[in-house]
This record gives sequence, structure tokens and C-alpha cells, in this order.
Amino acid sequence: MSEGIEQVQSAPEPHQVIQQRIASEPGDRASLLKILALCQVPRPTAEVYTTVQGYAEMAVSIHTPQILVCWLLECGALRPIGEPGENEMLETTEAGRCEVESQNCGQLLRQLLEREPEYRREFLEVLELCVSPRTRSEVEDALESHAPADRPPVLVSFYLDALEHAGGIEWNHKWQTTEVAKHLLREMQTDSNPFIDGGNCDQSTRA
Amino acid sequence: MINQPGLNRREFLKATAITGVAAGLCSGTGFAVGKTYLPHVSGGTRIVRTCCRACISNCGVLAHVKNGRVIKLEGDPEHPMSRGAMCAKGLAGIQALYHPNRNKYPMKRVGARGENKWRRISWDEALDTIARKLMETREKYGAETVFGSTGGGGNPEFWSVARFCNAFDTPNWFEPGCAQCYLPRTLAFGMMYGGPDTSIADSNCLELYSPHTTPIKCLVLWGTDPSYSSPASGGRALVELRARGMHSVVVDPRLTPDAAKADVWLPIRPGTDPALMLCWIRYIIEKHLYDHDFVMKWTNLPFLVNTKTKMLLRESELRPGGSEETFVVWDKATNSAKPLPYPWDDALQPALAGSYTIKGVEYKTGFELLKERSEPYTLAKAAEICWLDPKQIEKAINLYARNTPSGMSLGVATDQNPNSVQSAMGCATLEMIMGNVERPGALMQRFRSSGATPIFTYIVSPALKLLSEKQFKKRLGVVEYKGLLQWLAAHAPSVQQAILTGKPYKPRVWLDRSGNKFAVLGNASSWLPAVEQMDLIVHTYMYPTSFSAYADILLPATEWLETNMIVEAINRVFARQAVTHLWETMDETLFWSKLVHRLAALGHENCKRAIDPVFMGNELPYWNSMEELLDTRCKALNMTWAELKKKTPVEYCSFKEWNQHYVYKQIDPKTGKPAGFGTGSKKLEVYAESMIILGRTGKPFAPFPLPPASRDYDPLPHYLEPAESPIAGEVGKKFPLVMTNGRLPIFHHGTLRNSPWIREIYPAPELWIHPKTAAAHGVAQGNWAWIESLRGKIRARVRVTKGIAIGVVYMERFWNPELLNGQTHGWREMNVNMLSKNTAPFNDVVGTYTLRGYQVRISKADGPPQGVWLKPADFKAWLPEPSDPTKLVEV
Repeated sequence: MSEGIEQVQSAPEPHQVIQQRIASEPGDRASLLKILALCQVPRPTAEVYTTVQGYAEMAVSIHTPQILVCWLLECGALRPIGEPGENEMLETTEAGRCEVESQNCGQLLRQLLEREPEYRREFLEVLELCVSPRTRSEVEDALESHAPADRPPVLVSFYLDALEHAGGIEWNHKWQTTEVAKHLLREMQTDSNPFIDGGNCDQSTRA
Repeated sequence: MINQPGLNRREFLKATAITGVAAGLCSGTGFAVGKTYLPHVSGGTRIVRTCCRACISNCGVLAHVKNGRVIKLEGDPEHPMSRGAMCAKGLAGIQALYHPNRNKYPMKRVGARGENKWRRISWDEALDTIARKLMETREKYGAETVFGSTGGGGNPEFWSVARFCNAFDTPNWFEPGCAQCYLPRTLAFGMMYGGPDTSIADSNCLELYSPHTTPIKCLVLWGTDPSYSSPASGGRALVELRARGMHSVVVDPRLTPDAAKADVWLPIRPGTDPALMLCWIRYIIEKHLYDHDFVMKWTNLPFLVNTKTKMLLRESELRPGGSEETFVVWDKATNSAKPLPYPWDDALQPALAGSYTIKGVEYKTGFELLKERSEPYTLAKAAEICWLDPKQIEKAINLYARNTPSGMSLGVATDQNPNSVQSAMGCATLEMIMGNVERPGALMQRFRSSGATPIFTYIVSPALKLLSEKQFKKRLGVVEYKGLLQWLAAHAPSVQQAILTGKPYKPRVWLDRSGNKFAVLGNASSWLPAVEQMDLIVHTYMYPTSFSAYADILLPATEWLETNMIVEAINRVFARQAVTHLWETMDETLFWSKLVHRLAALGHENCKRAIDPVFMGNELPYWNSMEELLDTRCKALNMTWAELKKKTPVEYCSFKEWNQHYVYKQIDPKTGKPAGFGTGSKKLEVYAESMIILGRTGKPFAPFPLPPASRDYDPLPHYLEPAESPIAGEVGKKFPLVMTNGRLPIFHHGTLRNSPWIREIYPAPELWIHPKTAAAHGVAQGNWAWIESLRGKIRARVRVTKGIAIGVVYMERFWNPELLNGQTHGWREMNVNMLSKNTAPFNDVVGTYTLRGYQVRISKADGPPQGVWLKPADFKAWLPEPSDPTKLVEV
């Protein structure tokens, strides 16, 4: 029984620290993962800031690229290379790379469909629909036309949120299916079904 | 000639800071009503007449201001409810105003949540950032994924959050109170009477403030303790009434000061109130102590009820062309069913009780059904369930029933477990069958109002028309708990579950204007995973709390001494006027308006409507300044806000005009008949068919049709044994003690735990425990104890007292501001809401969960939690310090 104060736990693994840190920033999760993907190739710090500022997600982030980078440095997902100053570079650490890979290989999508089999059809429908960018209302209209009556109703944002979190769709003024999800959809359209066969993770990033 | 108020007495009060004394000394001072009083002062000090808002009593205050600083507070004798009294909460206003830890300007989080790293930002940046995030969230996920919350912790403008949510077109807002605080009573009395409930703390029961004239002979304080909850107003008034010979009965697990002065104290087992109320009903019916004539003519108890459909029989069902609005009685004279035209027909002899058959269908009178419902609850049975002495129960009932006019004030205690609405219905039933309605001495009255504070006692209307039908139907919990519709609120546990499961959708942006959600939400730690999933949390308050640690943007709210508002008291209207303004704090009423304006500028269609005078009409478009809003409300007084400030207080009618009884008998000029009560039948609806209709349709509150709840709401009070019970089930074996909470005179909900002098009085929460219970569990006076439930484990300091029943323990809410920067943020060490229960079963009408009446166990602890402040010297860090005059800031 908890005594109301957190017990001392054994030290988490570096990858877990990064995972928890990113998970604790749901509003900036997409940007943080993109930064890690970006810096898998070392880049000048200034270039990173500029690139990140251009992300669609940053338009309404309440934080600056500098703050996000600072968080990633603090949790060990990024490391600086060189002396602070004009020549400083940023690189994703090994643990940071693990986190990127775990988010991008399609595994989360596979797990989502296994975890929510009742909604599998709608999830795939949304993925297919958003191959062309769609607004939330367009997705909602498409789903409403055949909302099943045999289970508690969910709203369109249930699907959007779950797919976004699983890396299946991303927001850039409209919802769009990610490359990872497109690849998986193509594979499902052929006979090779990664959701059954346990096919290879696609290492391509969403950035 | 008015005597100078006892300045020596006030100095004494300030020195003692013991609120109970304040109530005891404010009697018989002979202040004249209606004369402006301002004490003589010197040295460039000005006196500002204002009203407190340290709690919801709004007592009158005279603030002494010198060189722009508030240097002294004292009560205002002109206030007809507090009459110059002031409690410790109000007197702590100076320390609250100048607290060194005030939120001074908007701040944005730059560290991880909980790291307490912030960057100062401007109001422009704060509003712009929040507005853009809200627009993006709406576009991506839908407006319903944004939700608001507020609290009763002295919030001066309760409906601001609801109005904002309607403007943004999200149906979701909640407060930790609502279904757990006051809504059950406003709902029950509103549906059954069409008038105010009998809460003293919420400034009803206004009959009590005329001690020289009110004939009330006996007052029952059921789950309420005015000496603690409203010491300067209600508590003070009761001192006078008891001194004049009024009897009193207190039903409360704790021996409060009111209980100590009562003729009878019934230390009821927490959570069992409807059982005792049904016992009272049964006794009163059996002994014919009810007001037969009143029940017959002014309640719906003689009406016939179809026992299968549970609906009242209408004339339209009896014969073709009959009225849908005329109900049917059994006429003893003709031994047949007859329609009873409103209000009465002397030609009929309606049966009050009985069972009858009409065309093969069984009907019973409402009275018969009430009798049947109460039948099992004999004195012995109630005593067994409620852990009381049957003789004391009987004594209490007879005091109430044989000393009339009497009154029963119901407090928040019964709102805080799943029997909530049933308790409120039980209290309303008792008052109604006793005829304690709108006659001199009765607590249930519909006295006049000025119209300046039209929404309960608030000036901001929720503007329901802004919320679209499509969005309204997405309100979380709205189908099952339709009673929440009276307050337009969502069901807090349903919001939590939606966040955690993502179904039916995931709320993700949280705008909160209140104190410490982690101190007051039930099962507080269950909210942490939900908080961690928020894309954005905005917290608006006067100082940081545990909840602030998880926020992304902190906004500085004004303290009550910096706030303008209209306050109505009896037949007078006061101006609460800001006496100073510090840093960049903003009245939240204005913040929400600015946010709506910003959203409108970004293209939010509904927010554009919210600022459009043509669309909003008499609901008021959002204002550009507080003066604009206040001027509009002051039109009801035929003056401007500036004029009200100069003249305050203003009598909007004479006391005689205000003190009108028997409103139901006043003739309606349109019909030529008595106006009746504010119900569909114009009778008191003791048989609350309206509850059935509410559950099936949402009427009268739902602006759009809703599907029915999973089962019908009960039209009569009933009793359910608490889900965690000491007498049944496995939980009670492992956790044998019943936990209850209750007010203290020095706090209001989660507030003032950071007030230095108040913390000196009460540095740590006390666990009240009976000597026998203490001995059985190995704890003694002054020990520290662990208290544990199925949900958590905390500590408190033991107070051994016979002032709590055997087998019951008491503890008030608490959190530790001194630990804000620590790992726990001060909400887990000694917070009783780490133990409370927010899971089903809920009250079926409003969804109440369990804050009182659940099971705990205790054991001795080695000492207090690490780092908590206990010694007077510890709190010096919170004392205001002199500084240069603060710059006047316009925001």
C-alpha cells in the first residue's frame, strides 16, 4: 500500500528515462520524436532550432525549440558535440535512437489494432481516408455513415487520438497518414500482412 | 445614537483569532439598521466598505487603507447578516493579499511538469498562447476535448467557467463540489418546491437573521455546522436565536459547537442519513404530527399515482377532453376518482391515504406511497442502522415536530455520498409535511431579490444558448446523471475515465480556475495519470498550489480585497469594491472575457456570437471591463456601479417589503388564483414525479432531447447502505472505521493552508477519535497515526475526544504548501482525499461519489511526515513584509 509518498524505485534504464520524459509531454510528443529523428545525423544546434521551428506542430506549441532541445539533453536523448557556441552540434544518443525506432517501426500500430479489435475496421478506414489530407469533420462524416450500434459509441477523436499516438497519422493543418502507416497499408493490400506475419519494422522516419 | 462598536472586542478577536468566540460575542449589540457607519480614524487612513470573499458568506467588511496598503480589517455593522462580525478566514485577508508567494504575473512552464521552473510572460502572450492552442485542439480533435473546472473555494464568480465553455462550444466543465456539494440540495428543493433550499452556509434560511421577530421555535441542523462553516453570519445568528430560547437539534457525527449547545445531538453514522430521515417521516405520520390541512391542500400527496407506471394520474387520462394539468384524487364523499382543480375544491373530500382501483389499475395516493416507503424505518431500525439511541431520536423528532414553526437546515455532509439526492429529498419532505414553508419562522422562503445578482448569487449568466445541440449531447455523464443539468456540469469521474481510456473521446486541454484540485477531488491520486496526459493545463489562482505544479501556464488571480462584485444581503445590496491592486493579477471574470475576445479574433464562430450584442441580447455580450458588466447589473438598482460604490449599502426595498411570507398565496393577476409554488403542479411535489421525467428526458433542464438514463430516478427518498460498509461486506473487516470530514472555522474548502497565523492555530490535520476507539487501535492523544483506505495511506495527529462516535473517525481536508517544491508537491502526506472514493456506485441522479462514509483503518505512526511545518516559527516565511509601494498596474 502506498503511504502517500513515492517509494524509491531502482534506477530506470536510459531508454526508459527518455520514454517517460517524452510521454510526460503529450502536447509536444510529436516534435520531440521528430527532433530525435532529425539528430540521428549530427547537426549544428542553430540549424536544429531553425528546422524545428518550421515543424507544423510548433505553430501552436507553447514551448520554443530551445526548451524542447533542453529537455532532450537533460534526459539523455540528445548529446552536445563540441564546445558550446557557434560550432556546437547535437546528436541523438543511442538510447534516443532506440526510442525513435520503437515509435516508428509500426509496432505501435500493430499493438493498437490488436488491443482494440472492435474498432479495427474504423482504424484502417481512417488510415486509408487520410492518405489524402482530411479535416477532422471529413473523417467524422465518413465514419458516421456506418457507426455500429452494437457497442458503446465513440467519437471521431477517439480514432484520431489513438492513431496519432500509434504513429499512424500526423497533423499538418489536416490529418495525414504517415509513411509508416502507408507502407503497412500497402503491405496489407498485398498478401503480406505484417499484422499477422510479424513483418519487418520499417525504419523510415515520419520526418 | 449608535454606540461605537466594541473596538476593544475586535482587538480581542484579532488577538485570539478564535472564530467560535466571534460568534458568541456578536449578540445584542443594538446596532441600528440603515445608518451609515464609519468609525473615526486619523492619519490619512481611508475606510473602504467592501465584502469578504474568504468563503461564500460575503460578510460585510470595513477595510482600513493607508498609503495604498490595507492595514486593518473589521466587520461592517451595516451588513444585516454578519452585523459587524468577522471570522478568522476574513481577518486573514491581509495576509492572503500580501502573501509573499502570490502569483504576481503570468508564467509559463519551462521545466518538466512538477519541476517548478517557470518563465514570466505577458498577459498578451498568455492569452495568445492559450487561444491558439485551444483553436488547434478544436480543429484537430473537437471542442469537446477542451474542458474547464472551477471550485467553491471562495470563487467570486462561479459561472464564468460554464459561460466560457458554452462560448467555446465544449459541453464539459466540472467542479469537485457540484454533485458532492450543494447540487443535490438545489436540485431536490428546486424540483419539489421551486424555491431555495435550506442551506445556511449558502446564505439561505434568511428568516434566521431576524432574531427579534422570527417565531421559529426549533431548528434542526442536519449535517451542517454554521459555527464552523459561516461563523460570522449564520453561526452568529444562531447564537442570538438560541439565547432567545430557540430549541435546536444537531445531526452530525461530530460534536460541533452547535451540537454542544443543542437540546439533542445525534451523532449519526456517516452516510446513513436517509434512513434516519425516513424514520422521522414514519414517526411524524404515525403520530399525526404533520400539518394535515397544509399537506392536503398544498402538496401533491393526495394525488393518485399509478403504481405500475409510477406516474401521477391526470384528468386527461380519466376522461376525454380532460386537462393534462389537473391531477386526480380519490373523493371519499362519492367513493370515486375525481379531478381536483387548482388550487382546491371544497366540494371534494380527498383521501390522503389509501389504495384504489380504477378501471382495473391500482392507484395509491402519494401519501400512501410515502408511508409505505418509510414503514420499515422504526425508531429501533433507524437506531440500529445509524448507530444512535432510539430514545434520543424520538426526543429529537418531538422537539422538531411539537415546537413549530420549526425548520431543518441541511448542509453539505449529506451531499458527499451516493445517498445525496435522497437526503435532500428527505429533508424537503419533512419540511413540507410539517408545513414549514413560507410561513413566518420557516426556513423555506421565496423572499424578494434585487435582480442585480440574478444567477443564484452571481452576476455572470452561463449563456446556455451558446452551446450547440450537437456539442451539448457530448457532455460526459449527461445521459446517466441528468441532475447535473441543473448546473450544466459534466460528471467528474466520467471526465476522468474518458481521459484515461480515450473513450468516447479523450479530453486533453484543462482550464482550471480554482485552488488545489489534488486536495479536494475524491481519490486524488487517481487523477495523476489523467493530469499527465493533458496537452495543456492552465491554472488560474491567487497563489501556487499542488495542482499548479502540473500546469503549463499559471495565471495570477485577484484576491478578494482586489475584486469588485455585487453582494446582496437581505434587502440590501453591497459593493464589494477593490481596495487595492497588486502586480498583474486579474479578476478571472475579465480573463475569460479576454480569452473569448481573442478566440473570436482567431475566427472561432461561437466566440464571435458570444461578443455580439445582437445575438446575445439580454444575456449580455462579453464585456470589455468589469465596470461594464457591473454597470449592466446595477441597472436593476437604477444606478451605475460607481454610484453603488459611493452609496453602498443600498436598500432596494424596505425590510417589510422584503420580508413577505406566503408567497404561494399571493394572487396571480393573470389567473386570479394563488400563484402557488414554483413547480409544474404549483403544489409542493413531495411525490417527485418530476424526478422520473428528468431521468427519462432531461426536462426541465435539457435544452435538447436526451435518451433516458439506465433506470428511473426515484420519486421518493430511499436509503442505500454505503458500498463500503462497516456492517456488511469484506471491506469493513479489514478497514473497520468509518471516515467522515467536516468544516473548520478557519478554512474554506482547500483554502488558507498557506495563511501563517491560521496555520499556527491549526498546523496539521487532526484525526478525531473516540477514547474507546483509540484504545482499541493503540493510539493516544497527540500521537501521529497512519490512516489507510483501499486507495491510499496518509498521516494525521490524533485528537482523542468523545465528540465523535465510537467506530467513526473525522478528518478535514489538508495539504501542505510548504512542500510544493518537493517530490510530493504537498498533496499526498496528510490529505484525506488520498483515501476517499470516486468509483461506482454513484448517486443515480447526479452521480455523487463518496467523500464521507467510507472505511479506513488506523495505526500508530512514528511521527509526522518529513518536512511539514508545525511550529509557529516555521510560518514566518509566509508573513507579509513591508516593501515600497507596489506599482499600480492596468491589465
